[in-house]
Amino acid sequence: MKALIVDDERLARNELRRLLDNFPKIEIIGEAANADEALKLIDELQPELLFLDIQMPGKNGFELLQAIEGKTPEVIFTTAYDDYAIKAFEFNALDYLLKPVELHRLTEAIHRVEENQPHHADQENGAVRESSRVLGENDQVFVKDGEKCWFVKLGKVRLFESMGNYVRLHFDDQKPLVLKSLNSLEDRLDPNTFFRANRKHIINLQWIEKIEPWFSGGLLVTLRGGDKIEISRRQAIRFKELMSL
Amino acid sequence: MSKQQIYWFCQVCGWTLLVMFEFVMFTLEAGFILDYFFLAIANILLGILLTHLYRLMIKRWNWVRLPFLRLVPRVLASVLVLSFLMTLVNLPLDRILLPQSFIDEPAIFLGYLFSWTKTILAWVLSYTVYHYVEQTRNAEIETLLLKTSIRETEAKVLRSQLNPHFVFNALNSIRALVLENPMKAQQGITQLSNILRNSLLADRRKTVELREEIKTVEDYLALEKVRYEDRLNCRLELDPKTLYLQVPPMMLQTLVENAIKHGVQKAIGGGFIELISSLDSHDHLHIRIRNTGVLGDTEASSGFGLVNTTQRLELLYGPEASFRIYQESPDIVCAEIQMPTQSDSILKRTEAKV
Repeated sequence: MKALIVDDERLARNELRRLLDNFPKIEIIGEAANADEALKLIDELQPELLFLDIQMPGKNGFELLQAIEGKTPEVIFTTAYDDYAIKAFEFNALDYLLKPVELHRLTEAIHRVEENQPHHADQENGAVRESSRVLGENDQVFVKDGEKCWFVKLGKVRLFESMGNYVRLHFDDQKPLVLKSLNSLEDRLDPNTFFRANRKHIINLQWIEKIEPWFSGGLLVTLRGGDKIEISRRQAIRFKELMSL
Repeated sequence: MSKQQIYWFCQVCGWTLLVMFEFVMFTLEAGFILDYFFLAIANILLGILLTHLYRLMIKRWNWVRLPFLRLVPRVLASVLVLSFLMTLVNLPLDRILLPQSFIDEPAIFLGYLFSWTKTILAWVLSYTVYHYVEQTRNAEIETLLLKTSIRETEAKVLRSQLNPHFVFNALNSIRALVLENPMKAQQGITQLSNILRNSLLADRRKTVELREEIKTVEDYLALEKVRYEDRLNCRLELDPKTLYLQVPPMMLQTLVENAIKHGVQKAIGGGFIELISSLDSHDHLHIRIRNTGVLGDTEASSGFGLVNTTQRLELLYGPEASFRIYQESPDIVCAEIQMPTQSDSILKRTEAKV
């Protein structure tokens, strides 16, 4: 698994590198001392795993994650001591390591990441790189709304709802807001899974439960979970094309 | 005059005035009767005795601490009992002393009881209300005192608290050094233990010599230097005359820590910190801490630490000391402390407090 270490302290990076020597499966493909360096490396090297410090000069760890354009790699946070950050993790059951890092905690964290990882042995590497800009249902994104943050598998998101300059994500029983426009989001979502139903909504086709004809050639779609979304007439034509063979 | 004296003064004067007023009115009407004069004296003494018993009772069972609704029935019952006793003594005596002017009305007992109730009620009400109000005020003062002592404890805790983030990061760096540079690792452990020791000692001492505080700051900076490497530049410029002056422990340390946390740590390209001590013409100790940084976000995040510094100086030196922090140039923040060098002022204030 290709991993990138992001920490502003050289010694801390060294220490982690030394600890990671114990895990031949983890291949360290780079190190970054701040968020800007990290973003460049993430884009170039497409790491599958980030070891990420939270307190860094410039952007902190969270801001770095929010700035990632494509899919978000798996993340293991490393922090010396940070009540606030740890609270955010507990909510999501994400993994974090306290510095100095204990070897057995590191082992646990890595195991958890490996379990989480979709088995994409059948995926060719070239294809991965090609589609890195488009987010499919197996890709995850980092979402932060106020104090809370989530890593969300896009397959779990049933609905994107435009709210002015923000987009509200609907998954499980959570509805965080992210500062993005629905249009820019649409460009990055895999069109085979996500469909622009109307001016205000993008729906996840996997979550459709029922489709009914609606006024003036439109359609009314009911999603699992009960949300009812109208598909405008223009989009209904495309929708039918997409759904028929 | 003590409270006790005021109480007895009011008791004697009040009852004497009240009873004598009635006696004089009576005398003007019916002439002087010696026995009646004795009865008046007896009434004064009885009044004082009974109300004093009431006072003992209210104190014994601490009635003023009762909630209002439970206090009222008790007070009313006592008033009734007291006036009943007064009536019981006065009615038969009056009947014997003044048979001629005594018309045997059917409700005469009630009349007596009513007139005594008025008197006793006035006494009891004023006494109880006074105590009730005083009690509430005392409770308020108690809460205030408690709050102050809590704040003092908080200040103590703050004085001795090192940023845990710093401690764990330092430990992490030292751990990496163990393999990379064992000598440096040893040094790091010594420096860290010095800082820990000083922070633990800090709440036991009011002031320390500047050179001791500087030693802590130097150890602290050395450890941060291990973490930040080239990103941190530090410079200390100390006037030798200032080294033995007294300063509050961990105060400079806190400011330096703030400077690094909000200044140097946030600058991607790294930054500097500079500490200068000097004596001014008025023999005041001047300490300046300059560092890379922008003040705007400092105020929001560490306001408490800065307020605490101001308060500690105020407590120790009063208006003679001052602390200010300002943006010296677009990317340099400067914190300035000025405090008197004589340690008498500390002693004076400590004594005044005791």
